Amino acid sequence: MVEAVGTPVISARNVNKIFNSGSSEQVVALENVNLNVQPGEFISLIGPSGCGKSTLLRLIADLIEPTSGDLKVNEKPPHRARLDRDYGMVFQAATLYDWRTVSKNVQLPLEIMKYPAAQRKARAQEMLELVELGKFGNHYPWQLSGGMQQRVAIARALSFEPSLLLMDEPFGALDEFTRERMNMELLRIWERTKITVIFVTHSIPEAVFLSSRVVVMSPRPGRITQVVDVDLPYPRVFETREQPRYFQLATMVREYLREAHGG
Amino acid sequence: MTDSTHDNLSAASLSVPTLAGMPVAALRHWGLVALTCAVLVLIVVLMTTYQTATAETPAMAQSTLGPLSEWLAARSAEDNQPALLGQLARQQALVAGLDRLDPVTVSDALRKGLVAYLGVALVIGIAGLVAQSREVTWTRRVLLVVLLALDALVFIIPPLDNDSTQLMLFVAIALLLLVLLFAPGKVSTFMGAVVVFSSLMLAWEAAKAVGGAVDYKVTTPQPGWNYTTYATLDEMLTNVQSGAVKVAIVDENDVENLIAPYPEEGADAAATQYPDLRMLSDLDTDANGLLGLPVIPPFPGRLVAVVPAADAETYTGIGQLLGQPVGTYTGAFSLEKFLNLPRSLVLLDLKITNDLNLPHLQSIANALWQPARRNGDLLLGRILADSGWFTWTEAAIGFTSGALLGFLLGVMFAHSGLLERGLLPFVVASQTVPILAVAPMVVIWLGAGPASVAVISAYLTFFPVTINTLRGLTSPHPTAIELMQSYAATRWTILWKLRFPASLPYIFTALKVSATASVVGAIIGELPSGVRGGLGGAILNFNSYYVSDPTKLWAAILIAALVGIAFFVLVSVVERLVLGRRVQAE
Repeated sequence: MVEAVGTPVISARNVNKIFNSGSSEQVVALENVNLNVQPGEFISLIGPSGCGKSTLLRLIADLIEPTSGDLKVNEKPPHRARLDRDYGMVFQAATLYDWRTVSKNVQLPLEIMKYPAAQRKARAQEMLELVELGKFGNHYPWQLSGGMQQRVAIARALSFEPSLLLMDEPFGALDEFTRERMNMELLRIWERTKITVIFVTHSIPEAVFLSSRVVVMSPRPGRITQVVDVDLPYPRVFETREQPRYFQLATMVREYLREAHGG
Repeated sequence: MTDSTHDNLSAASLSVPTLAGMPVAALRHWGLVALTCAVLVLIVVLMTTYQTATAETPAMAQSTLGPLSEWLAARSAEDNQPALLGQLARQQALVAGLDRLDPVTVSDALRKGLVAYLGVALVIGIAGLVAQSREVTWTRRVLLVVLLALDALVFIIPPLDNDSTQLMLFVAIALLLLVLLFAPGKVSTFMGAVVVFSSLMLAWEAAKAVGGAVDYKVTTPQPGWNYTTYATLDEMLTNVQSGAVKVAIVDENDVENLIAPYPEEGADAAATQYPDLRMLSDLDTDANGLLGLPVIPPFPGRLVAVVPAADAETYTGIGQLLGQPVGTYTGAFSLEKFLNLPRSLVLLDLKITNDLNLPHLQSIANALWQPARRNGDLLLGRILADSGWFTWTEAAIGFTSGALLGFLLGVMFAHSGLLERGLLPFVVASQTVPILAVAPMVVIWLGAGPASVAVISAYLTFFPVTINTLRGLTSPHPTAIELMQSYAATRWTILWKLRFPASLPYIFTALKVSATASVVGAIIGELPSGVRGGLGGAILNFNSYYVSDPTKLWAAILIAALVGIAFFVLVSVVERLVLGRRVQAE
C-alpha cells in the first residue's frame, strides 16, 4: 500500500459495514478496510460481485453509513462532505430525467445549488463540450445512445466542479467497443480536470487501462486484498493496451483476484 | 433438363399469387377503385332523391329536417326568441317581408342545403377516387372526410317502409368502410374511432333490420282502425251479438270453449255459450296488416276474429273488416296491452330490436331537433346542451377539488408511511360504498344544491388521483433518488424536481379516468339534491316517459356521453401540452 503523502482526499481506517446487524440475515459487507487516496489519483475498485466495492463507494458518498471505523472525505466526515457537495456521482444507469433536455439535465445539480440561470446555462454548455456533446443540449435523453447518455451523466457530475468523482460501474451496461471509447474519453477528461476518481468496475482491462492504482477486493467478508500500482505512463493511448507491461499488470490483477476468490 | 426444372421451380415460388390471372395487388387496386366508384354512385342517387323530393315526400317529411322546418316556420311568427335558430327564422321572415315563413319554403331551403351538402361530399369523394387510383398516401384521410359526411346523414335520413333511401346510405357507408380498410395511408386514433363509430351505427341499424324481419311489430292504429274497448269478454261478445260492433279481436284460448269455429268441424254450435257467434281463425292478413293494424309477419295463430254466425261466410279476408267497428276487451288481451305491449303478439322476442328498446338513430337525432314540449320555443337539443353545460360546470368544480384533494393525499402518503398505512384503507373503503348511498347523506349535510353535486362528483374523482399520485411519486428508481441525495437536495427539492415530474404521466392517467367519473358523479349527485337544471334532472324526467317516447332518454344519454368525452379530450389535450415530447418517449 502506498503511504499517505499530503492531505488525502479519502482516508479510511478500519472501516466496517455490517448489513442487518444482529439478525439472522447479517451480512458483513466490509471488514477492516484501510485506504488512502491522494488528490488527482485514479483509483479503481475491482472484485467479484459481493466484495463490497459498491458498498465502499456508497459509504464515501454518504448514501449509507459505516458500522464502525473512521472514514474521512476531504478530511471531513462523509456527511459533511456530501452537504458541501464535494463529490459528483455517476451510476451504472445514466439516470437522466427524461422530462428534461440534455442541457437541463446537466443543469440539475446547479439548480439545486442555486447557481444563477445564466451561469447554469454557460456551465452546462461547457460541460457538454467537454464530453463532446456540445450540439445535443436541446435533445431529450431518449434521443441519445447509451454511451452518449452516460457522457451526459459524467458532464452532470462534473458541472459543479467537485474535487472527487465517484463512478459505480459507469460503463458496465455498454458494449465492449463503446466502453473502450468511453475509457479514452474519461482519461482525457480526467487529465484535463485533474479530478480525483474512484471507479468501481468488474473489468480487469478497464481497471488497468484507466487507473493509477487498482484496489483488488475479495468477497465474504468484503475486504481489500491487494493494491496494484499501475506504472504505465500517462497519457495512455490505444496502443497502451498492446504493451507487455499492460499484459503483465492485467495478469497480476487477475491472479490476485483468483487468489482472493480461492481464499 | 435438370436445370430447366430448377428454373421452373424457382419461377413458380417467386411469382405473385394470382386470381383469375390477375395479380393480387392489381385486383386489390381495381377492387378499391370500383368500390369507391360505387360509393360515389350512391351519393349521386341520394342527391337525385332529394333534388326531386318535395316537402311532402316521406324521405323529406319524415327526415330530421321535416319537423325542424315546421318548428322553424312556427318560430318565425314570434318576436321574442330564446333560441338562436328561432331568432334566425324570425330574421328570415322579416327579410322576406312575411308575418311567418311557410313550412314548405323552409323545408325546401333545408332540402337544397342537404343537396348542396351531398354535392360537397361527392366532390371530396371524387378527390378520394383520384387519390385511390393513384395510391397516394393521403387517400385514407380524404375518404375519412367522406365517411364522416355520410355518418352525419344517418341522423337525418329517415327509415321508411318500402323505401330504400336509408338503405343506400348504409350500403355507401359499409362500402366506404371496406375501402378504408385497404386504402393506403396512415391510421390515426381519430380515424380508428370514426371507423368503429360508423361500424357501430351499421351494427345498430342492422340489428334492427334483422330483428324487424323476425320480430312481431305492432304500431299505433291507422286512421281506418275503428275500435271499442269493453271491460269484460262477456260484455264484448254481447255487443257483437247485438250488432254494436261487427267483429271482435280476441285470443283464441279465451274463446275456444265458448264459441264454435267457422266453418264448423263437427262441433255443435247450439251447445256453446254463444250459439250465434263464430270465430274465424284462418283469415289471412292482407297488405294493410290486420285491420290496418300492421302485424308482421302475417296474422299469428292465436288471434281470432269473432263475428255473428250470419256474417261468417261473407268474410273471406280480414281486409274486409277494415274501417268497420271492431271490439276488444280489457284484461289479458286489452287494448292497452294489445297496442303498447307488442310482446303479447311476439312469438320470438328479440328485445333489442323494437323501437322502444332500440330506437332508430335517426329517431334519436330527430328528437334532438324537435321542441322539447309541443310548440315549445326551444329545441330539445338546445335544452340538453344547456343541461350538459350546467352539469359540466358542476363536474368541473368537483373534478378540480377532487383532483387537488387526491393529489395532496397522494403526496402525504408518499412522504409518510404511517399516514399511508393508517389512512389508505379508509380511502379504499370510501370507494366501496356505493355513490348512490353516499349522495343522499351529502345532500342532507350540505343542503340541496350545486355544492352537494360538486362534492359528490369530487368523491368519485379523488380516489384514482390519490392512488396514481402515490404510485407516481414513488416511481423514480432508487438511484434517481440517490442522485438527488448526492447533491444534498432537501425532501422538498426531491419532491418538486424529481418525484412530481416523474409522477405526472401517472397523475394524468388518473385525471383522464376522473374526468369521465366526475361527470357521472355530477349526474348521480343531481338526483337526490333536487338540482333540475342538469342532465341528471333531464334523465330522471325522460326516464318516466320512456314507455311512450324512448328517443328523448336516448338523446339525453347521447349528450351525457358527449359531455364525458369532451371532458376526457380536454384533459388529454392538457396532458399533451404539459408532458409535451415525453409522450413520444413512452
